[in-house]
Amino acid sequence: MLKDIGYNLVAAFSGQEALKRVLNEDFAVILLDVRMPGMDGFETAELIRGRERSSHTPIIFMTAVSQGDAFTDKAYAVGGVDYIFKPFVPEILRAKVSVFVELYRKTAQLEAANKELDSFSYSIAHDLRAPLRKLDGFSDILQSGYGGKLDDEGRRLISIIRSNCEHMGQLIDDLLAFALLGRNELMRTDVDMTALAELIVDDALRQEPGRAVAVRVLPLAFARGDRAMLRQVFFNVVSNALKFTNRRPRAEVEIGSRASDDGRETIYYIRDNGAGFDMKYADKLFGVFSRLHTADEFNGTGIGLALVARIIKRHGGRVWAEAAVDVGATLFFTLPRTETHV
Amino acid sequence: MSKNEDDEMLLVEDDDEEAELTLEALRRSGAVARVVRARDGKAALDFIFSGPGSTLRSPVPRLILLDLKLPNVEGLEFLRRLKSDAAANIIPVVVLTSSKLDSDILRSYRMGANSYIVKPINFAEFAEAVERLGAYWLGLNRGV
Repeated sequence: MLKDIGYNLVAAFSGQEALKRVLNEDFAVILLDVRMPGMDGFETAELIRGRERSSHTPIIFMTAVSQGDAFTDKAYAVGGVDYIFKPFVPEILRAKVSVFVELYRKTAQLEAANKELDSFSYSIAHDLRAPLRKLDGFSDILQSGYGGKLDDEGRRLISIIRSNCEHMGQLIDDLLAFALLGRNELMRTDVDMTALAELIVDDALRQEPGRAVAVRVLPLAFARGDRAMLRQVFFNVVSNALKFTNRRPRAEVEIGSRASDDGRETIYYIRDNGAGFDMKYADKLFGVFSRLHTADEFNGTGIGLALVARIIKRHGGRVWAEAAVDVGATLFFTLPRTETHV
Repeated sequence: MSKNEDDEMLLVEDDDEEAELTLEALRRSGAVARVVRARDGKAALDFIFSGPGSTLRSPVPRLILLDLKLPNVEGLEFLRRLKSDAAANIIPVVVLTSSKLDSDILRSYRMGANSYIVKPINFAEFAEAVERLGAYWLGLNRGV
């Protein structure tokens, strides 16, 4: 039925064989018979889902007869996106399959476009560094070597150049870090999130010895992910929390975690009693170079949370925030739950 | 860095302005009596092997600061040739580059680089990195 519409069709005659196939190839959609010798369709689906490469491949279950709600519930529970009953109506089967093939093609195009954009941003940021280094270097030499020959106004003008070099340098380095995130592979290990958070918090507090900040790190669920990247996540959210609480006589920050309602994810949060923000700007929070406060209020390049969002998305998680002006903000991020630790 | 009149350092850098900044950073560290600059990998090799019959010159530079992007013989190739010479391979090489890509860093180490500085945008940071790394490698090379 599907042969003549130009799709590349691969047939597997058992669950085992299907699993072998999805390990080595990417598929737009999997049509999976529920009743098979040995491993049945549901069991196969769960194993397909559990593997990184095929964790997002859509599965359509095929079955002989309508088996009621219990069947469909089970089909969805193990990660099926649709089902179809035998005997198949060719038009329906083709329509269902073509939706996912189209989606697969569009996603592939989008991924390629994103990659291109990453390497474009990387090249731009990289090539901007060299002339900026020279601006900073020579203005530094001018300031230290000839500052004495200038009057106050002359020295003031040089210091404006130098502080803008510094700001632009920060922007470029942040942009580079952001672009590099798309290029470097994830190195997944089991990560002790409590230890990681405590490490970052201790470091951050040492940077600001004069401040009265109470930071509580509750026991956090383990995560499976790239330790260096998750370190960056904690670093950015903790710096953020400390930055936006710097006008509080007594700043309070809490880091905690809990399982999501469906049990598939861990939700990590970091809550502060800082400046907060208006929820109507919540969608701007995770954009590149977008800032909700003026530079006079709080400094920064506006890329920290974009970096967080990108790291979390690459791990298959989500980010969001809740806040109120002058009350504080809570940042949430999720990571898929690991089997070994909870 | 403590100053030693015998110290000669080789800076391999094709860009004049970059070279001026690196020299300024070295001047600030107050360490090196003489810096010889080569504008490409070939000139650097010619200098190092400028002894009789193209043998290793004497005295050898105490330290080489190497830019990776060079005309004629490029940085990694220079490194490979230097480190494959039984006599010259003891000269420590600090690679100076603006690339933050893991692959470039790995390749430099595989070719025998001893250290690596990703040139920061901030000049003061760069001067500090040059001072610290320079002091370390010069110290080792003097057997201090």
